[in-house]
Amino acid sequence: MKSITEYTDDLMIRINEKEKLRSKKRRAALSAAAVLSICVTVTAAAVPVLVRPVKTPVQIPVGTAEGSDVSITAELAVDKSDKFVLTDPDYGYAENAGGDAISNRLLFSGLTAFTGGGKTYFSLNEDGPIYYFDGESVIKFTGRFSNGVYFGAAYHDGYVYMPATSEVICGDVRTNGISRYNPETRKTESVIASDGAVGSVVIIGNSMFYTSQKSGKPVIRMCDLESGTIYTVASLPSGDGAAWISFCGDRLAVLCGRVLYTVTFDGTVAKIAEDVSAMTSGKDKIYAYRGTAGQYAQYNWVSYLRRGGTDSVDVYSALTGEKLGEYENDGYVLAFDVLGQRIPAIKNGSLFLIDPLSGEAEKMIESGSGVFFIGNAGGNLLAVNVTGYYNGAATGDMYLISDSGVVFTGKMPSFSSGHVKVNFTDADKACEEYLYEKIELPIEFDRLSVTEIYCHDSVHFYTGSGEELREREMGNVYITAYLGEKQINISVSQEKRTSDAVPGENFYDPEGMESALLKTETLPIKIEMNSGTEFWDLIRQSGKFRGMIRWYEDPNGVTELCEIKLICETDNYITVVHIESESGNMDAAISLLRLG
Amino acid sequence: MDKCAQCYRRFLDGDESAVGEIMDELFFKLVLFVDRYLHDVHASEDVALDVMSDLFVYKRRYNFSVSLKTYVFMLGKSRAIDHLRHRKALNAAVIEEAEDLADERGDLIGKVIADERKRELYGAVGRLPEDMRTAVHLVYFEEMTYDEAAKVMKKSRKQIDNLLYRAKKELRKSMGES
Repeated sequence: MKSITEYTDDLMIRINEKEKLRSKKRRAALSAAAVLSICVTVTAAAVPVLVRPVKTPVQIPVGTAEGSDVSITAELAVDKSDKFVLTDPDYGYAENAGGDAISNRLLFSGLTAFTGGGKTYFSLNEDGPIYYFDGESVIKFTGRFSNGVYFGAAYHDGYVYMPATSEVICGDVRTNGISRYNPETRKTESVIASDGAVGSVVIIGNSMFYTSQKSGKPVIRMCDLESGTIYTVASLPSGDGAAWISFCGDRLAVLCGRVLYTVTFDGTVAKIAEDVSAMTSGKDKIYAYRGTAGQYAQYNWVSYLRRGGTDSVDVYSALTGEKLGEYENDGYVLAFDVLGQRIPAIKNGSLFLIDPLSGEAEKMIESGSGVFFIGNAGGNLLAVNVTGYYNGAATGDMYLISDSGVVFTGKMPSFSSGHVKVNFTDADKACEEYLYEKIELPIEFDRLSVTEIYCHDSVHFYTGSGEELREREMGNVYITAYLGEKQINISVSQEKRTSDAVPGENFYDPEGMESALLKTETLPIKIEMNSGTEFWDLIRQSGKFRGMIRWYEDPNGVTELCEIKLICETDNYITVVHIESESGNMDAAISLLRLG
Repeated sequence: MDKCAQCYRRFLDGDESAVGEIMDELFFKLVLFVDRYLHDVHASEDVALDVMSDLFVYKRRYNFSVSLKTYVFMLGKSRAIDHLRHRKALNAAVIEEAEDLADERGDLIGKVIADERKRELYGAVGRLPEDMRTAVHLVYFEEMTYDEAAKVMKKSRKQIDNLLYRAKKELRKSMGES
């Protein structure tokens, strides 16, 4: 063997080589990103639908009804406080019964769309589920992302990169770090553990650009996904890291605070406009949305819709910053995105594309019960036309819209927003899939401690034809779930809500349950109720039970989550008891869904 | 702060002589540890050099939350496993080369393990299953604490305890038999 001095000499040579390579890589990565962007942009001009690398802002769900007055009520949540009511098409904004908290949730509830690996991924609300369109049908493939996917996610080499933990503070979305999710393994891992407040992520080649902040100043950073090296591309004069970012030809368009900038890959920052409430960008133009409408104007890049005010779109040249034109909205509900040179808009429940420079509008989708505009995925606009509702869950048709027309991609699986976690329309099939395909083994089960249990809905009874028989409060419910030889006891009480709830008794037997869960995936369920409850009597008399327990950990390790689903089938009903625990609080919802 | 970490702090402050001191302290130990995985002294040297050079190139990655030795061994383990993954097929060494390698390993063991009795034990430990082998190496030969060994192996302290208990049992059995 050589002496340590010789090894140290070898080491110094290696260090020098690495230092050189490192600085070369940094330069190459920055210039490659610029070149690649230009190349893709050029290609995009020829085949805009397939390759346009634009990642667009989050869109909020919009839906209107036929006619000019309120004509449809879409309950997208079982929980009454979460009602999402689609209302006056002249305003277009989603009214709701729950006040600002709900408004915020809806505003920030995420609709994201992105393409990758031959699939178009999209979500309809902030905690999933995630769907994908594989060219033939729309498939729901995961229960949820734990957080963050709804803001500025991007696909790269088998992973979905997304801002990690998010929270809403005074209308801004702040996230910490970046995570990536593998749709195949359904695992999430941290890519950048903590780097200020990350607002959104866009990826081109191996370069991931994101907004962050350093010493209180917003910055644009680039991470070379091959080497993991992070560079600061530019600093912005004011605002914070919760900014929106999108590609715009050979530069980035950045909306930070209410100021719109362009940032070139060599770090040149140009201020384009002020008082912008949302933006999106095409290959050489930036579309700046201005709203004068009430409280919702405060939100940076999350779109809001007309609410007794006006909104407008200014069109800027990305290259020169020159204002090219202006579109004063005249009654449409603008969705903040762009397809080619046109902007999606909704009026009377139908989806249009509007050219903001000429004002011409072309109807793309005729309304069913109202169109949800989702977002832009790989250059296509994604929209769902709602066609029906079942007790909190909606169904609809999904469309991909390109410059060359509208493609119907098939029926959406039942979807919802808010607290509804289980919705079945094609009940038997859905149950089978949900129960027997989605079960995952527990992770860190023994760390869960549930101390509060509450339930927040009443039970509805329906006849086979859909007529509601009665509604009653659920009362106290005790559930005993057997897991092999072991059992858990769950109590759910209608009267006890979050803060004043009392600890559930004998909630689980961690040791036994853990070992049992490792051995079994499907769980025989027995229900023991307090006597005299019609609902449970009904089930006990004629029901067949199936259930599942799914235990998993928040990828960030912050909370443990538990889902317990109890399915009871009778001749006419499927009952879903769905209990979810988060950070020790139990939340239960019961819905009774009519068999198709 | 341990001695190596202090040296690293000096290196960060611009004292390049600290590089030599850290190499003196850690390099051969790291090679021997990596060799537990690779069974190839030359490849282990290469991996160890790679780890050490990263340590000095990427200056802010080590955050002083664990001892420098623990950190370097954590890197060493991970790089060794990477190396194994990328090594598509085992190279068939000719007998002379294998003998050379054995000599070099003997030389290396001599440099790292001063105690004669421990050297005798080293061979017996090589016959243990991987996890036990690594745990014994870290705790008995590198004199790491259980917590440090747990960090390197990404296991809990209790698991290290169990591994060592079982390893001792195995060693008693095998050495008694031989």
